Amino acid sequence: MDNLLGHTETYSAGDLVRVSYDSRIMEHVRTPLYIQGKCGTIVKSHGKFANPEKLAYGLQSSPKVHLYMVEFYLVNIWTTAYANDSHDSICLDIFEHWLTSI
Amino acid sequence: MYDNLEDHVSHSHQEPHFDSPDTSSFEKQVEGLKQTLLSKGLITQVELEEMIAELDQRTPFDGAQIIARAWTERDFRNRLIANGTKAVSELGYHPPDDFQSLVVLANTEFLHHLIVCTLCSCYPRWLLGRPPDWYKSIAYRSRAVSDPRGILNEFGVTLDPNISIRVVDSTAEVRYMVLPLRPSGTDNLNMKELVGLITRDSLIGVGLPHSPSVG
Repeated sequence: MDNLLGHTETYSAGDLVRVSYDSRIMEHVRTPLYIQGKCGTIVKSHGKFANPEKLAYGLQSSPKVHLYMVEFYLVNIWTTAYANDSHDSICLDIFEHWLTSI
Repeated sequence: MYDNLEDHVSHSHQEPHFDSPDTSSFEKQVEGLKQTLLSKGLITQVELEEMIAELDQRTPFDGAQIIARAWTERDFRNRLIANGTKAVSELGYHPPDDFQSLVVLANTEFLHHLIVCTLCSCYPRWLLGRPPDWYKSIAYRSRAVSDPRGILNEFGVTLDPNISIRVVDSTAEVRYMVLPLRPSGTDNLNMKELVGLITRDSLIGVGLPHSPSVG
């Protein structure tokens, strides 16, 4: 997606990632607490978007960041409420700086 | 605003009651913000009214037309799934901001999609109009991600256990719309008749399209 600048996204479809846990819950972040610290799979890249964590504080010219659709099994999030054989899942859009490879 | 749409896009017959949050403090905040923006000249009353009018022009009928086209034209369906933003622009639909994009989620025999915004009320307003009040309720937003089958049951939808549910939480600038399965027995219907089967709720994933006998 970013070949003109000579580099590409860090992740591609199928990659396993973990979402960071971040205690800045009073700041403007778009990564809900219920998904922080959880492991999921990259579904697709959405391209680059302005970083809402900067925009919220008027930093209009901050660099754009890669955004990914990431899928998690619900059984891995709500461990007690979901049957082990369930394939029900949830997808969230998560910015690259929240993700690490596993 | 949906009352006069009944001819085109009907709602689920069964709509669960979700508790509404106390809106009075939000109304005061919105009014305060509006007055501040107006008094500082950052926005004019005319601009505000134009934005509201633009929003009110959009209804689930727009989304239903897109889906009916995808049901009848395989090439369009493929383009819609590959790049939703680009495909709907062919039909004259454009996102309100350059940075917002559309992803269309195709239901299959084995996969059902359900859309929510746990952080606020993100919704493809430029294709479906304003979201229903329950979509913004704390109850829907919290339970859609923890008990989607329970939510669907309350909307009158019981899925076969072999069908997986994929909830999609709209946390960024991407807006999602569901492409429901075309009901069986609709091969001979024309576009207008197909559009009549497509409910707003089926485009969010809390409902299914009507079958022809009901529609």
